[in-house]
Amino acid sequence: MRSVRVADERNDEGLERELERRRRQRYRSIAIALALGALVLLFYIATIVRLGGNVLNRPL
Amino acid sequence: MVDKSIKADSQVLASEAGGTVGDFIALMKPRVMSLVVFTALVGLVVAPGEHHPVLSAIALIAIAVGAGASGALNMWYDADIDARMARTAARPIPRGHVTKEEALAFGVVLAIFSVMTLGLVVNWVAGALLAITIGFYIFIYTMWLKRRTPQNIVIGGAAGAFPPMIGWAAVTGTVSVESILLFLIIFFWTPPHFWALALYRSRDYERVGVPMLPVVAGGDETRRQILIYSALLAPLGAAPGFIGLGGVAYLAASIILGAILMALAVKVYRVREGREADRAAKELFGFSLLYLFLLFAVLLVEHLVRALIAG
Repeated sequence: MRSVRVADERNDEGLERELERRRRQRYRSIAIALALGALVLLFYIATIVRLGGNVLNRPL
Repeated sequence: MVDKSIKADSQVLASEAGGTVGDFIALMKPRVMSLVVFTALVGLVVAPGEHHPVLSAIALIAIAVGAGASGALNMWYDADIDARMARTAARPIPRGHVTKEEALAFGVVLAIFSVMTLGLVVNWVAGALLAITIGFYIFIYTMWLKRRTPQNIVIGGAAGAFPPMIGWAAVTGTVSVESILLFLIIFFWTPPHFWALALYRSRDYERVGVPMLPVVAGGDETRRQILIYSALLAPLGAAPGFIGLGGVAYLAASIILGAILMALAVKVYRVREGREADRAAKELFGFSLLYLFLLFAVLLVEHLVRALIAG
């Protein structure tokens, strides 16, 4: 009976750790996605700024 | 007893679960980053010529991320001594939240992205200077000098002195006398600033074998060197006022701030025993931060006011 309870407690601990690991992994993934999104946006804005008025000055 | 087991459990949990986003931000040394961004901003604003605000903002972001990369790579290399020093024991690697390999990968990726972004979006002189800054901090300071010579922070301080020069280069695309002067101010500011800290933290450095000047040459020699560097820094701090980079307000502020710095350096030199000696060193350390901040802040405000008046 006692060994069953100890095993249950260990399972609970293992589950808790796994949930925490997944939670942190999810937050890290979101942070990486946001950083990459920001980088894309940054290069897009930089391109527009660099081109400036010249974007309209091209042969049609 | 219960507290200890909870603490141990949370550490095991942390090391198994990997670092949080906050741990990775801590790897970038946000406080150092803020000083780097501020001095780079001053370089950007005081540089002659027009610069699009968006490109300036991107330049500052790239410089900040480059500084963060340096911080992460420094923590990767110094993880062994960080764990044994009170000031650094709570960093993410010694606490087991982030592995050394993760810190290395994080630092390398940030370094590449920051240099490439600055080079591609702004200009390659600024990009090259950022690459030199990161390389200097990691290879010259962290890997080569820090554990070998008491002159570690004198030469290594150059890495911290580059940001205003990068900001200046972002606008002008060049390196000039004015930006070299801003570089020199931070370069000569670094030794008295860090040696003041090392005076009352020397046991920490001694324990981990980092040859900081108080550990190798003793407190007296450190105090003499602090005085010499402060005496060089005070007139150097006022120099922008004489070459037209700073105006009357800057000149007045730099002279007053330089005088206070010298007074505190003299106090450190004279008071060598007991708690008073530690207090004097702490005062100098604290004021040196304020000194650099105010010097650059006055320069910044003066240029912004001038730009506003000029319309």
